Amino acid sequence: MAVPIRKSPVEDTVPKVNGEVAVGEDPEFQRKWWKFESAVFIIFTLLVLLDLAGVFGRGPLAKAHKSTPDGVMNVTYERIERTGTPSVLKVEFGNNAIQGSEIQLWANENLVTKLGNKQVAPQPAKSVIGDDGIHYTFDATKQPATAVFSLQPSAPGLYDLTLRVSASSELHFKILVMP
Amino acid sequence: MAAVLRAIFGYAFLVFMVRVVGRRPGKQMTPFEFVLIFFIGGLTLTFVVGDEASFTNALCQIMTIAILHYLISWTRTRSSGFARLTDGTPLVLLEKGHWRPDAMKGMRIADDDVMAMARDKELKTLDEIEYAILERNGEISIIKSSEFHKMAAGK
Repeated sequence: MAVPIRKSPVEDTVPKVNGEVAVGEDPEFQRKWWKFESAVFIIFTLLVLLDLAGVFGRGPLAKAHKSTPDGVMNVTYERIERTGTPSVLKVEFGNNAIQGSEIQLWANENLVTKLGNKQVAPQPAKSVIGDDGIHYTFDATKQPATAVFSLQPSAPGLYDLTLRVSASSELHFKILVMP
Repeated sequence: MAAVLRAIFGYAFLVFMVRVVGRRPGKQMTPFEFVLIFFIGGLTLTFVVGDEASFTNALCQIMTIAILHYLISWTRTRSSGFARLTDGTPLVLLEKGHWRPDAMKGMRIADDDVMAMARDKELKTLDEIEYAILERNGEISIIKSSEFHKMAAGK
């Protein structure tokens, strides 16, 4: 047996304008919504200005520089990175870093596992894993000696990075990776 | 898991953005508004898809968005408050020979936009309009003036 089609009476529930046109407008809600919209656009403008400044990475405020007191190592990097976005960490070595025509640099494992380092220029003569990190050995003669690490973080987070040339020349810093 | 969450966020963000940017799609859409919709859509796609361009990912994300869309549509029919939030309410722009400036300014609509819809209804001047109503879908409904009706009938 066929199921009967359900029917219900039409009720005139939509509010009318001037008692003649059923519009269902809600001016009070709309006024609140316009205020909310204005607030949203102010927030959007602030966020874009912060972004231009580099608060979310890729801008002047994101760039950072650190060096050891003895001048053995100067590091230029981005303190705020973005997930999946390439960046560069540049390490400039002072004269004291070069010993026996080579430079030995140790970096903790976050450099590779969290910050996505896949390429180093120049290519290190040797890279050895150990001590919860990687030992890089670069052939070097005299200054200027620079190593450039290409980074591309795969996940957001706040990561500690440590670079060490010798026991007395060590740099710690934090890098924030934005989503 | 992350791809599904990105799809949920992308959909919610896009719905919010389109709602905030304004209600002028559909028939009222001008070329620069086409640019807005396609550009926002394209940019959202970059973070929703990310580097996961697999068939599985695409299917899961499309199904996620379909479920969300179904849920939002279902909730809209159950809650008038939710429907107001997602679509807004109709707004009277012109009422018996008087503009409603707050509504026009708030919705960023010019009198030319109303007249364009009036011409679509074969009206030649604004005084032939009794009510102009901005609908939830962004179209402007025109109700002809009763005096104009009488004049037209008398001819």
